[in-house]
Amino acid sequence: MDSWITQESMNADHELDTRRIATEDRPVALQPEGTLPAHTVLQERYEILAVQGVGGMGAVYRARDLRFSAVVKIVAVKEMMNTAPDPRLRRISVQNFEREANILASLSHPAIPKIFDYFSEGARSYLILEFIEGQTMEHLLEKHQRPFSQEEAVAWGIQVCDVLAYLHSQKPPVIFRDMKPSNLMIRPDGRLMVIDFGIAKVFEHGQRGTMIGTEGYSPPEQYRGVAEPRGDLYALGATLHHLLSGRDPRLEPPFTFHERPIRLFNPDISPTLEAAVNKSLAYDVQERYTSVTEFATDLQRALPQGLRATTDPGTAAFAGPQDVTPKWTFKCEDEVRSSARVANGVLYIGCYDNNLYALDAKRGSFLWKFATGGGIAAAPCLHGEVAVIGSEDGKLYAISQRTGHETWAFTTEGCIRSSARVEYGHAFVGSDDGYLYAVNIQSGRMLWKFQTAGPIRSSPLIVGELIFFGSDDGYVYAVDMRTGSAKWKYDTHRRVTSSPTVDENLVFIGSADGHLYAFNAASGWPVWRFHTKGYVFSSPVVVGGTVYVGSADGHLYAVEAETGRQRWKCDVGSPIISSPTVANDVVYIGSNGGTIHAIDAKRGRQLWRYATAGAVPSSPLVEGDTLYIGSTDHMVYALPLA
Amino acid sequence: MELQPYQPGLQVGLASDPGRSSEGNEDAGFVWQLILPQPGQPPWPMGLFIIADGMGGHLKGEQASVLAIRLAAHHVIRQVCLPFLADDAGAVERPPINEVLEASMHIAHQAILRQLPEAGTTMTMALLLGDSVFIAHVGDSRAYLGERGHLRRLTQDHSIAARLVDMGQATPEEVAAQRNILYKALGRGPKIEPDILYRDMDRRHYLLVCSDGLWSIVPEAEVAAIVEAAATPASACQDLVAQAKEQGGEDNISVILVARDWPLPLCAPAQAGNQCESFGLDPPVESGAKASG
Repeated sequence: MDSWITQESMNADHELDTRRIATEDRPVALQPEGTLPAHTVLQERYEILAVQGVGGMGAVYRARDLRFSAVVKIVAVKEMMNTAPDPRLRRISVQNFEREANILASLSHPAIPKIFDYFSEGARSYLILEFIEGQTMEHLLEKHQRPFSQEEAVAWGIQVCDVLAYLHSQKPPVIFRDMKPSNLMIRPDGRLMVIDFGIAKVFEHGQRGTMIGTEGYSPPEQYRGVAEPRGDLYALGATLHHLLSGRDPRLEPPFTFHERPIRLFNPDISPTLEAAVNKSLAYDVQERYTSVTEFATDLQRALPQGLRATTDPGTAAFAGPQDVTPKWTFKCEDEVRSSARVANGVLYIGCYDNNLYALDAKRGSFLWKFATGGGIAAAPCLHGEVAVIGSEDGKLYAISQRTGHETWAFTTEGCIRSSARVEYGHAFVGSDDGYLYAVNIQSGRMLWKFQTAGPIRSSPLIVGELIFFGSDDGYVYAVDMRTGSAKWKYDTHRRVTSSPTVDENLVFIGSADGHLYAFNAASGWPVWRFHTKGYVFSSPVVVGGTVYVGSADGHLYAVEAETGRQRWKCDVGSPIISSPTVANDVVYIGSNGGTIHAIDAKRGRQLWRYATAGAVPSSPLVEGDTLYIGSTDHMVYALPLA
Repeated sequence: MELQPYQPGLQVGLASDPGRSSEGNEDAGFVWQLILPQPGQPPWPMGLFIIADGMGGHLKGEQASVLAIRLAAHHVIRQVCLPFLADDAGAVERPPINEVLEASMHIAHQAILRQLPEAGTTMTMALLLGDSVFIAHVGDSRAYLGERGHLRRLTQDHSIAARLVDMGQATPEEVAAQRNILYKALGRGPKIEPDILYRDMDRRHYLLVCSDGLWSIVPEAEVAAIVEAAATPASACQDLVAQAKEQGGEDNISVILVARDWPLPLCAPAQAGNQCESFGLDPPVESGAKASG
């Protein structure tokens, strides 16, 4: 049980500053300084029992009214300590306090606390109020740690609308001006109370008030000194946005709700409800609802419609038959975990049936296959006349693209699952024997090998003279290409199977520790890391300053490359091992649930999906208007892109 | 082109002045730098530079900016810089910079909430590591990255006014009166999420960190001209403060200027990269990690 914490209605110090901060609640201190000790009796009538909360200008106490000696009548005592050195500011503070008392005395609504008395003792003034049991909405949000359901939020929202409608119908209207979760109390029986009228204001048209408000929830016009009923509507919209999206607006730049659509964070919310909240949050007062009653009506409407609507975009779109029809499919003898590469109209892809296949990219017809001695998990690297690919038989093969015959093979001591890269006349590839190899592309002879303490399944990335890759020993390595010696390494403490990518001078790579890392390419300094709730085996890609990567937690993430901040995440419903591909503002990715997803790269919304009959660890390849991908259902798919 | 004399460390200036305000100086500046010798390689510069602009009145603002700087700097130096002096630098655990910087701001934020509940402070912190600079920022102090003929602001002001201007809802003139209302500052709000930035900083660049007492008074072009004309970074800082005061600065004025070389290399912006590289003086940034094979 907590009680309500007062909003400082006017901080005298702010007036003396070169700069002001919009007012904000303070956390409750355990032993607040300057508060009244228990058993203090005010006005020979109110016995202080305990401190319930501390605000900027005083405390709120639980107290007993001694006038009722036969019963224990509990009241709330709200205190204001008037310590401002400037007599003018002291006077303003007292006026505000008295204004709160007078507003409350003139109101009668079951969701507004009753006022019994007010008085001053020395430098402190007191309001005696109805004691309300329950928890603030802010406290509930902290405990809940995730968005509230639309049914709960709408039920509360409608109750708040009822109170605001009552306030706005007063003559002249009373503007609450500080609607936010910490000013809403939920009683044990579920009823809602609006508390703290510290800055509520009787409205007179065109009046310009002092700029006070709580950051994040306050309407933009409040900063121009304008207080009017539709400002309360905005603040209620902001509060509902917080409840429904779980995103605290106090941590975001002001007036950015439209950049954080509720359904991005809570897809269970109906589009109707999202639209209603958005309308209440319009920057321009004229574009909001004209009254809270109108808003309440739309909230009410949103609910039954919402229950139907939760199955539309995002989910319902996928409930029916396939969203796309493949241009062609090709059936192999085993799982296709490898990813495709295309050159000169020919698609190359490996398969666990031991073969590297060459298919006509347009029609999917078979051209040739090359049998290795083991399954092929790696993707081929096409270089000049050859396709270079490793196999679980431990060999790295160079195969003629034209004939499908072996040019050379190089043997390592472990399975090869890393995809080779060719640069500067050499193929670089990792092996389960723990070595990264540099092999001459003409002769198939080794130039050097670099040892790590675990299998290397990550595919190397070559930038300038450095090779970046991960190892299952937990390290990310940067190796000098000429000498094969380490330039730097970084311990993530878990397997690094993900393959690196680079943008500007940052290297991005995932780890089984659940993070996506960004390293300074030259020094190996981790610039940031981004936490997901699952292994990151997926390999990141960077497009337009955004890093896209999948996680075994079942989400595709879009992260700002420069800062490591999440732009959006999209729930694909099953773990992701596949690596994303981005083309024309669409991200494509496979999931272990067997589905290939197309997701809007800007917003993170699903555009379409295609279900295969097996997990899809293969990564999509986009060539022109076609997406190529394999599945563990033994098939290679060519899907048309609009 | 004439080569500059080789200067292994950082050229740094700091000035902080109450301006014409009678309320004392709520700004605080912090400078810490070291030159890390490396076997067989040029030494590696490292530095931490912070400007904090406190608010709260009755000395609380002064206390807040100083407290925040001390605690944040202590955390960053301990987590990022001191490990390089440990016995086996190659084995050092390197926490991601963004997490260290965020944690340092969080520590300062919590301390202000606890110790100075009526106060708050801005903080703009620049951590320089070799050729990279990391910025952590809350409030409306600013960091700039400049070179001859070009000065670019790196940080965004966390003020309502800046936000309204960004949104196209107001012109800077219309919101001039609200320029000083911040929506983010240490010591305010439930928790703090600083902006974190990362930039390359090579020998042609200079880094300028300042409080609003400078940028709100002296236009950027004038700042750049004063910097480029100064004999040293220290005199540049003095000149900037003097200029702000001369133009009627009521507010506290603080500025830090950092460069690898002084005078600044003469680089034409269009080909600056090539020209500066041709100095050939950039020490390679080697972490000291050793290969296991």
